[in-house]
Amino acid sequence: MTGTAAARIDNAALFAVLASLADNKQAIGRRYAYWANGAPALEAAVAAAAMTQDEIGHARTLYPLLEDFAQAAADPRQVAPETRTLRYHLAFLDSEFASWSDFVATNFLLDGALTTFFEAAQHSAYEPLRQRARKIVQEEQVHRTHAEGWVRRLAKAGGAVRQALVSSLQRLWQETLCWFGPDDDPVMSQLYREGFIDAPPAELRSRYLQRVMPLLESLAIEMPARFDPESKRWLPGEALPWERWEAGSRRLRPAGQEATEEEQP
Amino acid sequence: MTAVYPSLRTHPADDPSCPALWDALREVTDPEIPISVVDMGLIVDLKQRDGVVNVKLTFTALGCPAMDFIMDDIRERLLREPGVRAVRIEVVWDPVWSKERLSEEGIELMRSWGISA
Repeated sequence: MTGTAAARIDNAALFAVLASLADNKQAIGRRYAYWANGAPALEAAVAAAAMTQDEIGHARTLYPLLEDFAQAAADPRQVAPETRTLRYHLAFLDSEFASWSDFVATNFLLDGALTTFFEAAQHSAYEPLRQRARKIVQEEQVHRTHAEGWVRRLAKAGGAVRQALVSSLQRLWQETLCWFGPDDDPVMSQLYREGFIDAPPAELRSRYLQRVMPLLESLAIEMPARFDPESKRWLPGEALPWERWEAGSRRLRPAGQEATEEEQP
Repeated sequence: MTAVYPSLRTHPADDPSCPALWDALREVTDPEIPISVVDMGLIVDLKQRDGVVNVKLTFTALGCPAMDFIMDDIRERLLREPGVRAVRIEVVWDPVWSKERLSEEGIELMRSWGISA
């Protein structure tokens, strides 16, 4: 259901977040695909293949929505994955996964964060997002089971296996927390004000931490987050590196890399 | 709980639910399992007006690799029905597909193939 030029939606914030969601789903699918033939157990490889299909499917159902927006007119090449040159996925996904633990961390943290967003969009004022969000949330339930099972398994293996998991989680940690944007992020805040999602960025980040922290705590994996007993909410336990935040692409510039002209204040 | 869909076995031919068209789609099967798109619960709504059939269709998964095949098969089969000159298919994700959308026949067929349903 693509829109005609006359009926196109003019909403740069929604367009930007949909593009980021689609690019992240697409990139996750491509990274998962490698492990359909390389996971540490046959069952895990089968699951990786199924999850690849799901993630690519999520991307495939999100990209066509971009055509409904006036913002697509500026560069029509950017609405289809085949011709799109912009890459709004997390920098973590720029490279191949170094190990199976990167797969597990991506599923547990990044895909968990995206699911937190889709959960918040299940009553979205934008119907195409609302419909897709409910379906994605349903499909992500099994991804979550897979993620939590493997986090437990790798953590309990101890030694180098546990250390590899912790290292993967640490490398993805800050960028995933940042994906929701700063607390005053104009893009996510606008989506909240306009009824496209049911929470502002700080609340989304807190919900996400509530999703992942209880399991990490139970496994004695220490990540920088703290539970605030007053508000009964999880909060980041350290200052996030907003100096490296690239608002347009919703990703963190790798440490040590210069800001592009577009991103400089 | 299972779903029941219109059929000429249970509805008169001129019933507004278009039972003949539902029966026609009982001949269109999922490419992966020999179960019809009706018994699988993929047909959400079906309406005919002035020779145009509007179908609301869902899939079990957003990443279903057989979407295009299934839509082509549905279109081709409905166009063979008398009086049908055009078929419009809209893919919808609400309601979200679940096992409750399977028909009784669909459940039996799935079980005969060793698939839990």
